[in-house]
Amino acid sequence: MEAAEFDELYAASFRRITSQVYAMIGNLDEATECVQEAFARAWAHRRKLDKAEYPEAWVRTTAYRLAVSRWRRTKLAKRPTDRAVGAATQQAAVDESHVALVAALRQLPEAQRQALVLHHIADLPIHQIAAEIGVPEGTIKARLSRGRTALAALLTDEAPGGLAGGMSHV
Amino acid sequence: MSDPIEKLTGLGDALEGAPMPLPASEIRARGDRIRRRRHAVLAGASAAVVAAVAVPVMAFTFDGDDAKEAPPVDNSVSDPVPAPTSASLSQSNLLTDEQAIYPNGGADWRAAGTSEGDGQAAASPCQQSTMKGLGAGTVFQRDFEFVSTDTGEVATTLHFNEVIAEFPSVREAEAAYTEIRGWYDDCRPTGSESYRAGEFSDVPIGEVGLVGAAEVQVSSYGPVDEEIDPFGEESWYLETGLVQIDDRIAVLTQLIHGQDYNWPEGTPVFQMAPDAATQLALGNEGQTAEPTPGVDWPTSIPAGFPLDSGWPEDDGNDEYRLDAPSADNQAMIPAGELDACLFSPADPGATARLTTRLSYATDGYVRELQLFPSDREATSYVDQLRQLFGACPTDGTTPTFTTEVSDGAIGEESVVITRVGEEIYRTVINVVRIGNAVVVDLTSDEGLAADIDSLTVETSENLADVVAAVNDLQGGTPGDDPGPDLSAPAGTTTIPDAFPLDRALDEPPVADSDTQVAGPDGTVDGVRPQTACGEPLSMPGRGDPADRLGYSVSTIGGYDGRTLETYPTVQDALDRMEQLRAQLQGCERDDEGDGLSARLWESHSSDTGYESVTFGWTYEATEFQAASAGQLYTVVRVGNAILGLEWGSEGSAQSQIDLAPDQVQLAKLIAAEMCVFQAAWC
Repeated sequence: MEAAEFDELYAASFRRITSQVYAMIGNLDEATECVQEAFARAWAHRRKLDKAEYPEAWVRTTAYRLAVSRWRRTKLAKRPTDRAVGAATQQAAVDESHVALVAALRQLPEAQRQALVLHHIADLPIHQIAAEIGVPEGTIKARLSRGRTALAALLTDEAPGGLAGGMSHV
Repeated sequence: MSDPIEKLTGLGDALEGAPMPLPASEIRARGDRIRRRRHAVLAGASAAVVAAVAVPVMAFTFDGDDAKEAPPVDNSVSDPVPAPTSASLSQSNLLTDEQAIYPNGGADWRAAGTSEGDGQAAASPCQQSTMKGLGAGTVFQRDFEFVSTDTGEVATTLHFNEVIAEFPSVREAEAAYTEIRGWYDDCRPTGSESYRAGEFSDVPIGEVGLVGAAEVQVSSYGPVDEEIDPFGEESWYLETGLVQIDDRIAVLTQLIHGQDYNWPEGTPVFQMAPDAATQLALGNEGQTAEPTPGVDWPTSIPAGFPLDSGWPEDDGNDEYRLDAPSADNQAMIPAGELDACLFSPADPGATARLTTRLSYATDGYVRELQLFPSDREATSYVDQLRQLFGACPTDGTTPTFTTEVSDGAIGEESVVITRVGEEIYRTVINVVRIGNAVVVDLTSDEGLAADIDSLTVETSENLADVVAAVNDLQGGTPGDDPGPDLSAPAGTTTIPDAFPLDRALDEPPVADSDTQVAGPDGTVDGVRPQTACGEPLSMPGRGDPADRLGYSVSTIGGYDGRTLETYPTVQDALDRMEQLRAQLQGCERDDEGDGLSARLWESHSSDTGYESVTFGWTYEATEFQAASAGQLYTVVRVGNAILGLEWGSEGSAQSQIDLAPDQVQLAKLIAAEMCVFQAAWC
């Protein structure tokens, strides 16, 4: 992959992948750092990337693994600034309803959340999700079905910035 | 209730239009640094011979407009590496007249002029920006002329110059280095009709003794101007050397024309680059890593240090010749045992040394322990060896040796260097640093080159006692040094928030309906309480530590539990390990399992490089207990912290024997992160 191709991939997919990883892990700063780091690793392994059928999927998977690994162990602690490409970066504000949605997603089991994000946000077909995650298509369908039901129960029209599930808005 | 799918789809657009946090060039620069850190061995450039084509001489003009179009330097990212406080860059950091060589005989490069700042003309036909444009503060350039040593004539069509620059920070120097490196990929010298870029290859700069990078690259292009090459038989050969030492960069540019560019002993810039690195480092010593403060490093090696442990013992064979450990034995560097591609490491300045050698038939063994004034110098020596061998992927003629350099898992840091012949001959060099001590272990034999891995494993295992002794040395038990008070409050008892207790040998587990992942967290039970022969084992998970972190993965197939605990003093941790060993000693079987059959206890090799034990139990196979099961443990101490690993699964005693090395390997990985609990720190 040449620099120009890489730059094009980066420009075209960075925000998309970041929003997907954000939806999966619920932390926009962490998602941004991990996607940046994943792109850096993609450039470092660009020959491998050349062989990848879906470079964007390679970056997303790498970013997600980085994010999951970090998220589990950092426990929201302050991190040294050299952990990713650069120091903390200025982020766009995220709409309040999106925050609520992400909060709801975080209440779902990880597998369901991942399936929902890849299918409904990344717009991947079920067979491609199955290939990306490495599980049968039937498993993905089941996770999507359960995830949609659970998510619907967690979201209400009356509380655009809040969560359902017993909260009172009197 | 709104449609959750609609909301989900909308989330995908949540960041559309948001500013890109970092430019792609910064991301690529980071990727390039990752590649360099992986010590990727690049193909040699010296054989870059390209078919000659014809004509015009390069237009070397670099006008102001070009400079203005230089890519801007992104300063939006803060730099955690401070700018140097040492002497500023000066003309004395340039190559001298004597150091600028043309190693062909009959000609030489002679200093013709030195200037401050970027020159009016481009220093290289591939230059796309001035150094100032890349963010440099101070810049110097020295031009050289090509002189016939026989006649004194100067050839005006051949060029060589060096540009040196100092940047505000190491990070900006790294970024500039990466940027400059990229110029040669897509260069199109003025007037050229064809351009071929060779690969960059590493240059050993070990003698500098500082962390840095040096590479050379040869490009060729043409045609050469008809006045120079009337028959169209030549090409331009542009050889570029890039050197970075901390916050400084040197760019060496040599442009000559000819029919080929064969330099069996190394191309001119390749040979000059180490001197350029040495010059560049002058007065910049303040950029090296600082020694860990507050540590009383051991200064002497105690008598009887077991440097030759793990080697074959004398069986009376006439071919067994051992030079017992002694400071009087010749050191490895002057003995040429650490040479690579005709380069020797520089004297690293050790304050104490012990060397031993064993020759046994066709097998050779050499070990050397050196103590340095602090961990800084020890680290520098490890880096020097890593660079030296990393820059020498192939070496020698008949047989040609192939060298690979990788990170090891012993001590606080280690490097594994393997060198193999074409079919036979194997050499493994383990370089292990613990605190201010560096052990270099070299083993060579006439085994099959293809079987180098077995020798790597064997030499690593053979080092166990030496590493343990060096750990003891760092812990303060040399005969004439009272060392630190092990009962004093430990420096660190709080487990860092980001401690990677969930580190995985392969892919980390992902929680789903079949896999429950808990932690790392202080509330998670990792290693579960266990008894052996009626005694509650002294493992993490019991008692009242200063701090605790747990992690577990439960699946249908088994249990992976991990607990890290810290104790108020190193002595507390030592006592617990001692108690555990005492409990395990003599306990070969008990009846504390499911009552159907006895549990058989077994100890396994526990080569973690630290104080550790690996053991486990499995059910005794009986007519009532067909399906065997058991638990495997590794407990490792680093300073005042103890890590416990528990793997529970179905399996036989044999399968546990097979699994033990994997668990030990995992313990090594995590233990390497536990250096914060050592007196020497990380």
